[in-house]
Amino acid sequence: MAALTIQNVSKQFGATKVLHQISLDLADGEFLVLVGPSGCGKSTLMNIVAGLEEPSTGQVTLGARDITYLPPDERDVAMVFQSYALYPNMTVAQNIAFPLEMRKVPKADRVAAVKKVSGMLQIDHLLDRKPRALSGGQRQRVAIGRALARSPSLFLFDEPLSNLDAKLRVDMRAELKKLHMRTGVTTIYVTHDQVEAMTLGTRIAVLKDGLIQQLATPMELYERPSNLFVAEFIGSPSINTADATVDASGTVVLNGVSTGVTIDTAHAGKPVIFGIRPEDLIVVDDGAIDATVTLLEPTGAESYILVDTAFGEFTLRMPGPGDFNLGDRMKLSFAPSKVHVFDKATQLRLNT
Amino acid sequence: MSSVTTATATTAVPPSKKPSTLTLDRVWLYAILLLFAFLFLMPIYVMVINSIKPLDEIRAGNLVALPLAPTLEPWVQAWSQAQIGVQATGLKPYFLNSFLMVIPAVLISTALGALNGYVLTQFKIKGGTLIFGLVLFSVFIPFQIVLIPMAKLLGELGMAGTVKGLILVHTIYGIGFGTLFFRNFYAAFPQELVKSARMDGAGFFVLFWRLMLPASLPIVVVNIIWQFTNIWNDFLFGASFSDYSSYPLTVALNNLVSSSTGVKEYNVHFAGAFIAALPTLIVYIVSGKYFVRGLMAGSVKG
Amino acid sequence: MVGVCVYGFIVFTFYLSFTSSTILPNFNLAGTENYERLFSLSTFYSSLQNLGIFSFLYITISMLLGMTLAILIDQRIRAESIFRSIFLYPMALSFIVTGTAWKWLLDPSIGLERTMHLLGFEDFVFDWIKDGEMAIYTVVIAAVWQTSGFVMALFLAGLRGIDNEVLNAARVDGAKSWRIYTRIIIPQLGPSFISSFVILAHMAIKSYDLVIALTGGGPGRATWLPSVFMYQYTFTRNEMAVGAASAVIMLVGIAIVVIPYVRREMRLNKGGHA
Repeated sequence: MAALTIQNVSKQFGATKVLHQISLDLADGEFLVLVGPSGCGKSTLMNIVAGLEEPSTGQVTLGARDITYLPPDERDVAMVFQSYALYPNMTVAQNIAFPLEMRKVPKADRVAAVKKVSGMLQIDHLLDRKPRALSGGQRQRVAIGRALARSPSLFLFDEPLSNLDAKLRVDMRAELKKLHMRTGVTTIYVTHDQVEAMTLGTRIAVLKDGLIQQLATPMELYERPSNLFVAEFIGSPSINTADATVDASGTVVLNGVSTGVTIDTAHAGKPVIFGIRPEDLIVVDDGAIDATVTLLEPTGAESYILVDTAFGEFTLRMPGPGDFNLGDRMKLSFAPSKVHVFDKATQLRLNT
Repeated sequence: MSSVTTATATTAVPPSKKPSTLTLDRVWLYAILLLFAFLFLMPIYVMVINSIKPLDEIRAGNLVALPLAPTLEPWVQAWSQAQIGVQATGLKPYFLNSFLMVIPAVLISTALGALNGYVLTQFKIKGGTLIFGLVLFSVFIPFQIVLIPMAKLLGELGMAGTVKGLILVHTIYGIGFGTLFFRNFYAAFPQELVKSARMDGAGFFVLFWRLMLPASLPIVVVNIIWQFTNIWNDFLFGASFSDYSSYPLTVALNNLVSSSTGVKEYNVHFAGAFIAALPTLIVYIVSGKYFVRGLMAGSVKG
Repeated sequence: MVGVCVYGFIVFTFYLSFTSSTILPNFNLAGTENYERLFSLSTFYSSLQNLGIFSFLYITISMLLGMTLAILIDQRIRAESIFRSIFLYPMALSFIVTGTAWKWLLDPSIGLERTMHLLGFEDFVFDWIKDGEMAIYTVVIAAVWQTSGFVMALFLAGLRGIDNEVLNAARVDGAKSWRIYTRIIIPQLGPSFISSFVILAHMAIKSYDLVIALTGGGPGRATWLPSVFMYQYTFTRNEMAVGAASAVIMLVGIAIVVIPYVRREMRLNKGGHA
């Protein structure tokens, strides 16, 4: 159990800078999710924390120790890989016991640890099998078991659910969360799936192009994204956006209609981007936006309705089957407090 | 929250130093590798420098010393004047023999190997796996086992002791290897391409000629290199089936070197050996990774 | 066509070994007489013995050396391709060339022994190649030199086929380099071991060119291998049937090693697609 600090870490491969001045603090027992599109640097950051790569600059500390240049085995960190990376020539039991063997833990203790961990993960009936005789989900549990057996100070998960099929992924997600609640080990979890990020993390760091775009709790990210990228990345279906302007009084104006949102008058005259999430668009008789239904996507519990407006296509989210048909006309409105305004040039959030 | 969090105000933990990349282990590593590289290069180094020394230098001095009075005389000797068997023609005519023997053999066996590989993988043949097994086994057999009957066959065909006979022999035994190479390659060929071509109406030859063959250029190269090297370097068939007018280069070289009469002209021997080695060495250096692929394909997957 | 020339001929030779052929094939059957004669010849026995010694040393040393070189080169060496080329080039050479080069290298009067003398080590003795007892070991040296590079290439391919993430996992789990090799990497190299063994074994049994060039079979008959025996008895001594019999023995030897391998490959490659 320990707190992790990453300070000003950057990584360069030749002329390409993959990570720029990353800093973040994890409290003991926290579950931090690193999320971002491919190539954003999250795996590199993970490797640096694990000790599989060295940072070009910066420092990593775990508890009271500086681990920046320590080899992986001296860091007291355990990692679960995307491909599980099980040792193909060893049985499940040997796989789980391997890190303990490397630390010269006596045999009796190793056996006990394997038993405990495999019971927790419900793989105790597979102990004598080799990895090639296991299903994807089983292999993944073995990989987790191998990491758990060491009782490390820090857990690293590198996209562990990406190789599982959709249903299994959802089940395993819940299991991982329960596991964390039970063991309380500080964890960093990397994924490109924003749903996983939202459901699992106590805090989420959104990365893009080697920079942290925002580091916050899931709800904060959702309700107060700090820039356009975060707003569009988090939330499915994505946030609806449209170009807008700011008048002299600081009010955001959408196609000539006032949105009721006011920002700093310093931005008067500048182009901005207006954003509203699908569930925040309300159908009312006197709404300011005209819309025509172009597509219906029912998912069972709710429906996504695509409409055509003067500003392009918007998506609405409605419970149940939705009461609309193709070609229906409607008027939309929204609450000013649910609006997100971004500067068109810098993409930064402008309203609080 | 702002876009990028700032670091904590103070560094509680003193930073550690970045370790050096040049450790003792790396030094040992390179040292050992260099030692082995030296051992591996030594014979050819000896061969080359001694091939340009006059004979008395070799006898007086030691093999690793550089020549004091380098001369190309041994090379000239080896090429055109040395005594091979009963004639003092040097290695030149036999060099030619080898070429005449190798080129047709390589081309024909590659073509047939490709055809065989194609047939074996793209068409359901009864016992296809068995044929594969038989072909695979056939490349391992000791060629001694076929020497006698082959000699008889060549005699009956009137090809005993001729270059043509050698071409035939090498072609036949080269087909085995070729079949294997191409079979393995075609087995991994994307089936969707073949299926869609078939649906478009491609028949046996069209499929082969227009689809698979053009795509198999790398393996054709590999095959050619492998066959060339093996056939050029062969000795057993050459020694068994040729007479002194049709010796391939390897046999001629051995003749030159093993003659027990007279003065042993080491320098000429070395020059001759190097001449014999040159073509395959050049092929090796030029083809690099194709050569390696040939080696690997000849052995195993996984 | 290939079938005939390979299997047909095998049958032919097999048949011959039971005949009383001398210079030319004679189709009168002579029972197992030739085999009895074969096994009563001390030269054949010594050929077999030589083969045993040679094969054992050749295979073992080549595999160890090849594997070691592969592991060394796999350590992210700079100029890796140059080293690889250096270790592999002997495979491009004819055995005759190799034999010639090593013949003089190991010759006491101009080779290693003499060089050492000239360098001041007057007492250095290395006349193995002229020594009936030790000559076979010179063949081992030359053969290992020629084919270790090949074994190295095989093992290198095997090493590179190992999933890198598994190695990363081992590092995080606390295994030091040495352990990673012994516990994880080498156990996964099974196929490389098998392939190199099969190839080396069959090359050992077939070895002919190298012996002829290096020692001519000598001194005397000290470095005769069954392959040499076969050639001598068939073409030089005009005892064709006995030669045929020896060839059959060679085939049996190879078959023992190769057939399990071939069957395994057949299983893994069930037919084609079609």
